[in-house]
Amino acid sequence: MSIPYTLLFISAVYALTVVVVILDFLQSRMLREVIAREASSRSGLLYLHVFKLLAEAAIIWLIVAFVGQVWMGWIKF
Amino acid sequence: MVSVRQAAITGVTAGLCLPLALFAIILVPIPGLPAASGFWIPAGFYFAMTLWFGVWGALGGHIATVLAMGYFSGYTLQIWLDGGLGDLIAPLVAYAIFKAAGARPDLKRRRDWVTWLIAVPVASLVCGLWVHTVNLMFGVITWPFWWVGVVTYLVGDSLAIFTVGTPLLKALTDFVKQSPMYVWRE
Repeated sequence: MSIPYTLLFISAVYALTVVVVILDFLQSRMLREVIAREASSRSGLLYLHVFKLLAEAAIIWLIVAFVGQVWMGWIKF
Repeated sequence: MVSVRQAAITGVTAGLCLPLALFAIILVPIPGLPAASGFWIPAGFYFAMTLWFGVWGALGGHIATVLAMGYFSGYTLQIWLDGGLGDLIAPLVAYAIFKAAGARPDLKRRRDWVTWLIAVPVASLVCGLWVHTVNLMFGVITWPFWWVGVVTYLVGDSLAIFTVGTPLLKALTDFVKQSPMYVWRE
């Protein structure tokens, strides 16, 4: 069974995006205390951190929605 | 005067919620109701932002909802009144319940959890009642469909908010507490 090139490319991008998000999440957990300490003196870092994690959660949801639409046959290649 | 931080919170909330709202309408439509969704995933985000930052988070959800619903059904008074205002009211209802109960969005105490579990369905119900009453008055739906719409909003919004909002509040509230914009600072 051959995979259409468009699906292959998009899947590769999404797979890497998920890996980056997971790595960033793990990094955030490991640096939790450091980030909290730094954020107490630089509020910009705090907002960047929170907004970034919210955006990552939104991206993960959109990727899940994409896979769901392919699975349901709403997006075809 | 609106500060940069307040504008940033509203802008980021609106920016994050807009694509989620567009695809929520496409993915889980409610037959017979234009530009509505049975699983309103952006609510999880703007509920969290409202419980952290108050009205500025709710305003972001309001803007995203108006833009997304208007994209499908036109930028009309009815769209602004029902979905737009409904999604502004709902997180503020949850916020008011948290205030009244003396609860906090970090969900660390039993009181916080109980309030969260009550506030979300109550806020979703208020939103559903508002949206579908407005739709009824504008003649978009008929009376028997009013109940279907209210129940769909109650269940669909609550599920989405619990699914997304709970992990966001648990994971991020400790960071957000350090912000001068955090509304529960002591």
